[in-house]
Amino acid sequence: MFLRSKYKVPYRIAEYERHIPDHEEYIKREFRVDSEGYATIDMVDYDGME
Amino acid sequence: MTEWNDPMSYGDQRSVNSEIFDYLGRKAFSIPVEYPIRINVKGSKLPEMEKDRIKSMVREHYTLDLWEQKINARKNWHIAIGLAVLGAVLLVIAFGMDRAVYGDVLSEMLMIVATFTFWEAADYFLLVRSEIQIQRLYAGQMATADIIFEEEKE
Repeated sequence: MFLRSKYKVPYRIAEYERHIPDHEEYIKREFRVDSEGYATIDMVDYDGME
Repeated sequence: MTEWNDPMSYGDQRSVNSEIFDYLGRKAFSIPVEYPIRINVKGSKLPEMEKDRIKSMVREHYTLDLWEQKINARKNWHIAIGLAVLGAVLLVIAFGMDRAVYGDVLSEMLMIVATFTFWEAADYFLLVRSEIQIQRLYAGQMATADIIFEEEKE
């Protein structure tokens, strides 16, 4: 009983976990993974933006 | 204003601003090592020479990190092997003393030390090593990243 209550993921969190988007999909969308498999990190050079 | 250089760095030891590495580290944290990384700097109007210099400084930073992880991995391997050999030697001595007439207590103590040594060797070989390998992969992922400067702005 102790083990079950301590280590079992509570229902509310387990339910939320089911709705988290797939990590791979997140990476592909957020970092614009291209056909070569490159994930892009965007940076802005503010000096050039002026 | 984007401060590319570390304000305190000078001459041959000029380096890129640490805030840029902080930003890249935060972003790269969520990208698994399976994906190669491309760093895209938008809106940059830096001269070509300066761009090349920044590219080489960023790469140098992560290569040094990778180098350090490689050294750590080698050190870890040597420690694990050393501990395993020491444990084996202690065990052989303990068994040898077990046969001697008054060696019981000392032999027991040596066996305990040998067990502890084997335990540490396994810890270094399995747990610490895997952690170093993960750090090494992340450093390698950044060291092999492409850096692109885009002049157009969005």
